[in-house]
Amino acid sequence: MADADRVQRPLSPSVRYALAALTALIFIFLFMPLVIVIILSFSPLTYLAFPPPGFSWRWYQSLASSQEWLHALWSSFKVGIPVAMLSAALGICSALVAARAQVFWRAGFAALVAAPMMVPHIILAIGIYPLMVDVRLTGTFAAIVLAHTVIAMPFVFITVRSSLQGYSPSLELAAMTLGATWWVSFRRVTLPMILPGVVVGTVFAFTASFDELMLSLFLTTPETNTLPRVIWAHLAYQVSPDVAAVATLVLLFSCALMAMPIALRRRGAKLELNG
Amino acid sequence: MSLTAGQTASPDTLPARPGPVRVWSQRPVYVLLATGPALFLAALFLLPLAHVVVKGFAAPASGPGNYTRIVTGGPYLPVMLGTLETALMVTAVCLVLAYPLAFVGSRLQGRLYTVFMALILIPLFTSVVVRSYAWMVLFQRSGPINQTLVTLGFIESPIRLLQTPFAVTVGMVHVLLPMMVLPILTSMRSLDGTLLQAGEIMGASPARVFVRIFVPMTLPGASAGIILVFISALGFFVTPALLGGARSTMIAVLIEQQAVDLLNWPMASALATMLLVTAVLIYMGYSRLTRRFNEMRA
Amino acid sequence: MRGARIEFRGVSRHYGHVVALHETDLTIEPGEFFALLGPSGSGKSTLLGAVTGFTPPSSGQVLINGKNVTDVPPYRRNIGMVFQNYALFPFMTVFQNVAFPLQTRKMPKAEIKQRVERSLAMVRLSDMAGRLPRQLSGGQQQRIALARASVYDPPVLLMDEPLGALDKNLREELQDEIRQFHRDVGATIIYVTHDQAEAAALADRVAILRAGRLEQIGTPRGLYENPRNGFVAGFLGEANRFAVDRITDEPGGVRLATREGLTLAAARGTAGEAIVCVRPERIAIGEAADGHANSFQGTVIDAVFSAGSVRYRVDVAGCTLLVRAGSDRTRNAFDAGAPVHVGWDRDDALVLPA
Repeated sequence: MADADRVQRPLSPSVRYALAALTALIFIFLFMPLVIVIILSFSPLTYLAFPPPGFSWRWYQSLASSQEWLHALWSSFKVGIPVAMLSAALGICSALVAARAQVFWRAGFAALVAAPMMVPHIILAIGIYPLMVDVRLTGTFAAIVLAHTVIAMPFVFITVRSSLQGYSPSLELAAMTLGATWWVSFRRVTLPMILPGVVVGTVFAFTASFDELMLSLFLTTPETNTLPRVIWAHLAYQVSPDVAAVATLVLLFSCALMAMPIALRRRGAKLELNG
Repeated sequence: MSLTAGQTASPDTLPARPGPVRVWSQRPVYVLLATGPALFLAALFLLPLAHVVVKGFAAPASGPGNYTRIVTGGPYLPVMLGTLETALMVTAVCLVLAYPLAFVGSRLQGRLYTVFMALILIPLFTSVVVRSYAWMVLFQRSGPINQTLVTLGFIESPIRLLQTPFAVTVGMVHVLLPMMVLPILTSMRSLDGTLLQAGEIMGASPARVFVRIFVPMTLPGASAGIILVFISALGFFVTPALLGGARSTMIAVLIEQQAVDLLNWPMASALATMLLVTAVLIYMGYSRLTRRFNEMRA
Repeated sequence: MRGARIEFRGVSRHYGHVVALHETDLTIEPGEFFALLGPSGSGKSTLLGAVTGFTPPSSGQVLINGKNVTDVPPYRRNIGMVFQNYALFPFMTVFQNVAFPLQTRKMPKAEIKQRVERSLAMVRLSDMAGRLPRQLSGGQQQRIALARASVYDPPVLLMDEPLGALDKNLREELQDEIRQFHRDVGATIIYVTHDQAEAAALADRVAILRAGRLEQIGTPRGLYENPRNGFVAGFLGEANRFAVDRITDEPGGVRLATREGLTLAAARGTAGEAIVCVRPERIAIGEAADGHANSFQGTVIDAVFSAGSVRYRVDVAGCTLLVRAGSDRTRNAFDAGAPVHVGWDRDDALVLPA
C-alpha cells in the first residue's frame, strides 16, 4: 500500500504524548546497554567502573595485537562467507520450488525448509555433533559451515520466496514463450526481479552465522573458534573492557551490514510504488 | 510447409484419437531444484533430530529410563517448568511493549519510518552474546544501575541483580522485542484504513474502533509475533547462561551442561526431545488456532 | 500466408477427478482470428495453455502446422503471447523488452535494432523506446506487449484477455488496432475473452465454451442467429428466454405454452426442446407491432437510451420482456407506465434445447 493512500486519523494530544513517552523509553531500553558498552570500551581501567574516569584507546590497541581475537575474527569470516553463499544457493532453489512449482508436495517442502528457524539451536547442536563425530569432521571448518547453513538457509528462503510472491509468475512464462529456456528465463528475468531479496537474505544468513554461538560451542576447536565463541570464553573468566572493545566493533559491523537491507528496502519500496 | 485450406490434416497423420501423451512439463526442473535442499536438510536437519530422539530412548539402556528419571526427580522437571514460565513472562512483556511501539511505527512515514525501522533492526542485528554481555555490565554489583540507584537514594548499598530471574527476563525481552515488533508492524501497515473510516462513519468512537476493528485486524500479526518469541524463548541459551544463576537456569543451559560438562548425552538427548516436542506441540496448537480463526473470518 | 494451422485432437485436462476440459477436437485455420469465449472456469485458458505448453493436456495432442508439439517446450514452439497484465519485464526498457525474443534467438545486434524499431513504429511508440514499462499508460503497455509478441514473426499469436485491464473506451479503440494488427502480421490469432462483444467485434470465428466443453463454433453472426442452445443464445447478445411447457403443431408452425403462462407461435420446434428465445431487436413495439404472429399488450416498465437505440423493459402478463428499438425521435418514444403493443414473427422465436 502506498503511504500516500493511507487513511489516518489524528490522535488526541494526550494519547500522542503518552505514546511518544513510551516509545522514547523503549528505545532507551533497547539502546542504553549498547551505548554503555561503547563507552566502557574506551575506559582506561582494567576493571569495570562506570562512568570511566578517562578516555583511552588501550583496549583497541591490545585487540589489534591480539592473535586470539584476530584469529577469531578471521575464523568468523572463513565460516560466515561460505555459509552465506551455500545458504543463498540452497535458499534460492528452495524458494523457486515453494513459490512456483505446481506439485503436490510443495507445502510440505516449504515447511521443511523453514522448519530449522523454529527448532532451538541446542537441539540441533546435540544432534549434529555426534553426526560430525561419525563422519570425522569435528573441528573442521566444513562441520561448522554445514551446521550454520542449516540455520542460515531459511533466512534466504523466506526473503527470496516473498520476493517471488511479489510479482506474477506470468513474467517467467512470458520469457519462455519469447524463446527463453528455463535457465535463460531465470538469469535474465527471475534473478533481476529477486535480486534485492537475495541480497537481504544473504546478509541475514551471514549475520546468523556471524552471531551464532550454540553450534560453535559444540563444533569448534581453538583452531576454528569464531568470534562469539571467543567472547563467550572470555566472559567465563571476567568481565573486562577488552570484550567491550570487541563488542563495539561487532556492533559497528552489524550496523554496516544492516544498512544494506535498509537501502535495498527503500529501493524496493520505490519500485513497488510505481509498478 | 504449404497447406491449402482444403486440406484437413498433414500427410504424416498421427492416429486420429491419441491416448495419453508425452508432454513437456516444468516438473523435472523443480524436482531437480528441490533435490539439493532436500538432501541437505535430510542429512543435516532431519537425521540429527532423529538421532536425538532415538538416543534419548536408546542409552544407557533402551527404554524410557531417561524419561522416568526426568519425571521422578532431579532438577529436570522444575527447570522445564521454569523455562515455560520465563518464556511466557518474556512473551507477555514483549507483547505489551511491542504493540504500542508497532502502532507508533505504523503511523510514521518517509524518513521518520526509515529511522524507526533502523532503530528496531540495529538491536536485532546485534549479536546476542554482545547484548547479553551489555546487560552483565549493567547489572554488575558495581555497575551503572546499582550506582544510579544508590546515588538517587533508593537503596543503601548495591544489591544483587545478576543471576536473578529478573535479569534473565530483562535480557531476553531486550533480545526478543524486535522480533515481536516486526510482524505486528507489518500487519498494522497492511491494514486497510478505509475499514477504520467505515467504523467511524457508522458512529463508533475512536476508542471503540480501535478495540473492535483495529485490534482484531492486527491479531494475526500479534499471534505470529507471540509464537515466534515464545518458541525462541524456550530454547534460549546465551542470556540465561550469562545472566541467570543456578535457580534461574533454563532448559537449553541444562541440556548443554548434561552434554558438555557431564558427558551424559542420553540425558541431554532426552531433555532435547522433550523441548522439541513441546515446541512442536505449541506450534501445532498455534497453526490450528490460526486456521480456525481464518475460517471464522472467511 | 504466414499463419499456422492449429489442431486440437482429443485434448483434455484433468486435475485429479476434476475435469477442466473434456476431450476436445478443434481446428483453427491458418491466418484465422479465432476467439475462445466463455465464463471463467469454462476451459478456455486450459485450451490456450495446451498451445503454450504451460498446462499440458492429460490426453490428446496439439498440432501446429501438422506437427505434434505436445512434448515441445514453450520456448521451442515459436508462438507469441500477449498476457492479461502484459507481463512486460519491469526492469527492462521498452526497447529491451521488445528485443528480448530476438536476443533469445541469437540474432545479430544490428538486425535486432532494425527489427525492434520497425516493430515499435508499427504500434506507433517509437518515441518510448527508452522508457520503462511503468512510465507508460495501460494502452501503451498493451501495444508494447503486442510488439514484443510479434517482433519475431511467430505464425501463432495467443492473447489472453489482453484488454481486460483497460477501461471501456480504450478497449474499443484498441480493438480496432488489434484488427489492423492482425491484417498486418497475418498470424493465426487465438484470443481468449469472456466479453462476448469483444469476441464478436474481433474474431472471424468464435468458439463458445461451457464447463469444459465446446458448445458451438461459428462466425459471430452465425452464432447469434442460429444458436444451438439456450446457453449460446444467452451468452452471445441479449435474449428473452422462456421455458417451454408444451408444444403443439398448428398450421404454419408450432404453438408453445410457456411455463410463465404465455402462448407463443413459432416456425419450428420439436417436443423435448426446452426454451424459446426471442432477440430484443426482433420485437416490434408500438404501431409497428401490429400484424405479427405474436402480439401482446403490455406496460413499459422503463426505457434506457443509448447510442442508436432504446432498450425497453415491458411487462407482459407478469413477464418482463426486453425490447430494443431504434431511437427515432418521432416514433418509438414510450415513457414508463405507458401501455404498448409488442409483437414478433414466428421466424423470430427460436425453440432450442436448454
